[in-house]
Amino acid sequence: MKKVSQMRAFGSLLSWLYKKPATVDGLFGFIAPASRGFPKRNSDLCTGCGACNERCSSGATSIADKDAIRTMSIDTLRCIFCARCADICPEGALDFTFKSEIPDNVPDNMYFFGITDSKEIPEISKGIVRHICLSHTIDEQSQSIETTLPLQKCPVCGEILPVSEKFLEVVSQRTLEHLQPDAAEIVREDMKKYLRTCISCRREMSKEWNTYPRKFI
Amino acid sequence: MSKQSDLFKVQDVSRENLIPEVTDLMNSGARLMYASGVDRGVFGFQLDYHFCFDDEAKSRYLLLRALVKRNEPTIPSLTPITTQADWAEREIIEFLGVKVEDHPDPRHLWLPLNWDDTHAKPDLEQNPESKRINTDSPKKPPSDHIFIQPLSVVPYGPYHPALIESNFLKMSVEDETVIDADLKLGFNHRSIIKLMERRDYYKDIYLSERICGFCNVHHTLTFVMAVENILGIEIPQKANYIRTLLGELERMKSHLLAIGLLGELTGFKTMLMHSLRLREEILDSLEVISGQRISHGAMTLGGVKIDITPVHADFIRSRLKSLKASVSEFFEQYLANDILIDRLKNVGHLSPADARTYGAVGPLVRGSGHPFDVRKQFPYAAYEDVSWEVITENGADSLARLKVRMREFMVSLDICEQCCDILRSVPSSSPIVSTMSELPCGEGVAKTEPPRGELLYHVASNGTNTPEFVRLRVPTFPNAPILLRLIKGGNIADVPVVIGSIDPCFSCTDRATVVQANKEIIIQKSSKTNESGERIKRGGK
Repeated sequence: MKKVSQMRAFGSLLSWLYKKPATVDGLFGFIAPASRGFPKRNSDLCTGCGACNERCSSGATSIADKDAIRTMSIDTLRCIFCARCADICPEGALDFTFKSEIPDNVPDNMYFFGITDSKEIPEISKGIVRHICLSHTIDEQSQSIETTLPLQKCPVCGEILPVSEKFLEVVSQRTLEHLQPDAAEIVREDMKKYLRTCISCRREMSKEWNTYPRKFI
Repeated sequence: MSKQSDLFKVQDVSRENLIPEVTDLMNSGARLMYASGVDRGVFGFQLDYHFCFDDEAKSRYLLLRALVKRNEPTIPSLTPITTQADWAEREIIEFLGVKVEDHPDPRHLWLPLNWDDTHAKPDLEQNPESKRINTDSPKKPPSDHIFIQPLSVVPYGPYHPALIESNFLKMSVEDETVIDADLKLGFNHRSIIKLMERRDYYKDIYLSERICGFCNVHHTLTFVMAVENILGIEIPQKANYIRTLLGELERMKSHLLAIGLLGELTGFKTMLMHSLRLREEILDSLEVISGQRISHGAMTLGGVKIDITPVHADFIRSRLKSLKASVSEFFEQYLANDILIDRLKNVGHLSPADARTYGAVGPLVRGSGHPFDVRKQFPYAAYEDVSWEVITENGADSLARLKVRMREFMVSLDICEQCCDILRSVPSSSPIVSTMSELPCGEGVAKTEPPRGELLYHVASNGTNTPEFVRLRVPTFPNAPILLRLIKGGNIADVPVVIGSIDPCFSCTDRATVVQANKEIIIQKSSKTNESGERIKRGGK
């Protein structure tokens, strides 16, 4: 039995002499079809609520408030493509896909995240499409997916609130949808006054505007 | 489906009753899997002793819980009763500052050898800014017995080319024989279990995935199972089959590499290349399922995150079919090599009695003839619904452990095929995630069988979105002290073979510490200690 397998080993050794190497060319940049792909945010839907930032386990998402502008960004080089942010997003603004728009002015030698069209996947092996690289060096700019949203300003005192205008809009709409029509009418009038003001102004003006919550009890 | 929680029992034990209680348990055939300590603030330190009973058909799980006072943190040592407690108690001494009385070898295992003990200097605990590493020249040599013996010393690591892991194996050698061996860990502190307490459960899944590169499916699976046991929810049957399939694919992947590495360590590099070639088929299958080759992100609380469609199942089936033919030929040729067999036979002999006494797990204990397998004894996922047998070999040497891995590979292949067949017939609309309820206060344990042995997770919830504590024990933790026993008395040329046959994963084992960043020199040079001319006796041995 052992002799047989030794002979067979010798035979396969000879046969390997006439075979090509087992390594395959051009697999660099190959991404499996089952891969979730790269995060993409629909800027029209995003309200800047920060749910994705809460759920991200790799610290790829970030929220930066500067000059009354909120910037939501995803660092795709830190992203581990777990798609938990897409699951948690209340607006359905995040999606994981291969399709992304590549600007025309990107140089060919730059490693780029994402490919223009799924039809181009086979051409990767020919080396035509730009490489998709999950690792990067220090000098390379990390690709980030950014959405900017204006932050709400208090109409009374002018303080910048830590929420975006769009978030308040969506929240008020969603609240009113779930109310009875007559109650919704009162709340809508109240919201016009107090929703966009800061907390201290809201407290000061509630008597004057008649928006204090105890009136419903 | 998960019945692990029914076999779990917590029992409080007082400090005085610990020794008699544990002696009774050990006499009745228990195995001390792990001893973990948790700092409960003003209540003191909670010490959990995890026991299981291997002889019973469905292994029970007993957790003895002792609470020691904060101002007087002493507990009697269990190491004189059973050596299985050795490393776990050293971990408690180092990380919690609990005084374990009468421990025969209380040297540092993870912390640097000249790290000041918390209980020796109580003010260190009050002042976090104080320097923990003593950089003064030592009044007495650090208790590092290997370097000061009048024998040749062979260091192996911390980053040795033959074993690319962060352990430091020191051997004192006389002629060709290893007289003594000692292992120093802690070069790769990652403080993952502490980090888990700060993050919510969904983030912890991805954190546990990054503990080990080989067993990431099992680490995530065990974590989510522990949390599911707290919740007490049922997992959809399809998700259970997907979990089983992923786990078995991972076992095949890991075993194939371990088999190849053993060939490389014995100077038979061709076999490593062949095993890597065959391993590609499994990696391809995993890539088709999840889109990734190593970390799959497949598990989630209450089920799995990726669905396996009939197309996927067919693809895996076809890959497994070609694998079955080529792997059996590979194994045949591997075992037909006389030189390799001679290098493995009767090397690293671990007798069946010793395997029980020292608490070996995984292929190490099955190579010594004991049919211990968590998949049978403490069933999880869908292992009760597929037909398979536990593999044992009676050789008790490195060759037997190699054969166990080879035969387990074929069993895993069979389980994968059964799972694929079932997943192909399941309607695609059936759920893969069950709905989650609010997480109650409580604690859960889970055990699985990764490729290297038994993996244990202990998760406690306090009702918030972060766990109260997470404790885990990786399979290398009980196996590595046995590795030292197997090395001692053997030939130095056999050391890589023994290490390869145990297939340790020290990076997993090194997961638990919180260390302040400190770049000072931590290991005293051997020349310094020799000058003093003192010989330190190894405590108790």
